[in-house]
Amino acid sequence: MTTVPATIVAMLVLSTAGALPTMALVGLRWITFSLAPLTGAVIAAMAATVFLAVGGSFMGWFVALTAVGAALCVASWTRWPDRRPWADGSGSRPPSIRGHRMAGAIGALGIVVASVWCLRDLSTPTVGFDARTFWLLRSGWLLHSHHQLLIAMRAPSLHMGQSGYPPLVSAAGAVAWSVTGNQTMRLGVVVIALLNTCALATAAFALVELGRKFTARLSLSGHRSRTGFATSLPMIAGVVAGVLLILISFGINEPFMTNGYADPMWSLAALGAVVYGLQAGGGRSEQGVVAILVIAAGMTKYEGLVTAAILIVLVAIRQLTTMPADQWKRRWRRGPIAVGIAELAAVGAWPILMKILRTREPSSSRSSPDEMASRARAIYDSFGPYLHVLLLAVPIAVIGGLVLAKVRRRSHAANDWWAWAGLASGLGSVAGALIIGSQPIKPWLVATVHRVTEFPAMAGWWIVATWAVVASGAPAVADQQPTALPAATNAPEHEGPPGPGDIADPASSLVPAPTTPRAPGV
Amino acid sequence: MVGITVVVAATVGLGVQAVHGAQAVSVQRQSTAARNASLDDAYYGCLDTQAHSLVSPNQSVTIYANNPADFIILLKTAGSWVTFADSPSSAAVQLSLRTVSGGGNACRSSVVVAHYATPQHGISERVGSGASVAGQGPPPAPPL
Repeated sequence: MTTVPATIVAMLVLSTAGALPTMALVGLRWITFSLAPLTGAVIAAMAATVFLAVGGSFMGWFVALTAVGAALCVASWTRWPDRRPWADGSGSRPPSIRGHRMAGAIGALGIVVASVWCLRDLSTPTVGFDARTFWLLRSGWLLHSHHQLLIAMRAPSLHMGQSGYPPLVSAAGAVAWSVTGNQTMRLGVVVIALLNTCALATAAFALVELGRKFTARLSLSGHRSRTGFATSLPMIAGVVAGVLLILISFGINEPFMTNGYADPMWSLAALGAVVYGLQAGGGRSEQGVVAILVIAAGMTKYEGLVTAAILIVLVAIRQLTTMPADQWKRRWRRGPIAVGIAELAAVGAWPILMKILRTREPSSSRSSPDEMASRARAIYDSFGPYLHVLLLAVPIAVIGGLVLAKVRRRSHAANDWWAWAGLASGLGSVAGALIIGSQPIKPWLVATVHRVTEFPAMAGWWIVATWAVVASGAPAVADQQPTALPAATNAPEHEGPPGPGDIADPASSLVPAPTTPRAPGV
Repeated sequence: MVGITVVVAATVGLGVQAVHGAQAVSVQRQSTAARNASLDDAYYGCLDTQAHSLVSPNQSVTIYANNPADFIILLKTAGSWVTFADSPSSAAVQLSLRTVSGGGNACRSSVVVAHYATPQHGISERVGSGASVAGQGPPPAPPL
């Protein structure tokens, strides 16, 4: 089978494996299409973990876990009919207004077109150094016997410190190779590039949804429906920002986006987790998106694992702070804490297994305090040129926070501090590991700084894009203030910059609440 | 007014960066990048064919190299499909890379060489065959 049909088959298999769990967690949305193959890749990564832990065969476990996931979904929908994706009350659908669905369709189309345009890079048959040396090398190992896999993972003669890295990219490649019989690096690279793009499209579409939901709220607030140009601006801005974010992300990530590296995967999945977990409304569907993306990030690379762990904690804290008092007793059972613990267990299984199996791992020695200072300086100097977006994002965030806090609350985007906390988690985890570690840092920085700054750079651009969408609603909000927010019927919004108490971001009052509020879980 | 200013500043920033992004995408499609990628593909495809000509299925293999570069090249060539031995001493086949002059049957002046622990038909060393790529030395390394 040649590369093109093999790619189609591989993506269909991954999508099919992930389809039911994605629908159960997320519902039927545009992003369900981009999340399904990522969920399939997560199942593949879990299959790799179980295969390494207990034996059998990798594909056997992939099929078994897919079947178990599907059975749990069907059982859940049978037991609780209101959880079916096609049932009302998913909490993800904004109110319908004229042009609203059209904006979603145009946004989705724009994101697809921009992604396809950028994926033209695949016409250059590049296979990245690490892809050939390591990520896709392990795809082959996963298709060997369990005994052989253990030998390859442990053999000191192979000198591969990174063979203990999390398995998602390698596992997705192994599924592609196995179901198509086309065991070429080229197929692995193309499949990984498409998975990267799915993660990016999911994050970018959040801007489209933010814009159209903001427009919907503006249109439906006040005494009569408003559908003028001013109220439509956020919807337009969301589509434009979503498309631009695709081009920006490819610019930041190339050539690694299309040459088989794992860095874009964890960076983009973590970005999506920030977007849906820390910025969007905290509904059940959003939490389902977070669960998929945060596990994808954590099972891709150790940098992603640390970032994912911090994001899981941040999302749980945000969920707890926004939890209605009458639901507080459910914070453990099927609540944010239980969900967070389950997600941490999923991403933590692989590193624990690596410890138990004593595979090769990078040195865990620590540098001295003096060395840490010089290492921190080297990191600052190296990271700076790749994070120039902060020169734009910080002033916009400060001005927006001081002047547009009220508009931001109307948009129902969460407080900007959450996005900055997400950005800091990724930046801090990478910089912290480099500062504390004792490996020679300068050669490493020269070779990899581009890749390890992908996540904070994209998070910075996402913050800028969010402010563009939020601020585009300012004229409509100003226009509506005298009539739409009479003191008798609307809670007063305090002036000034947002404080810690403003992080609460309850689900939109315009969006129907689920009939039985619950945490995501199948 | 502030809202409009923020929209304009953010949109201009996004737009400029998006243009840079589009240019970065285009760079990957330039002839130099495409040529290097094709050469890289051909080089490793050639070595892969040679390695396949030397190793039977299920033969345990170890990689021997005088320098890290050769080790990495061989690992990239055959690491995903060979059956690695528990230890180098227990391997049935030892794969290594050899630089040759002339390069009639070489992959850019390199050939894969197999040393067998148990000689096959009286032969303890064989040189890979079945593919060749003209030129000298490994192709330019792709970006790290």
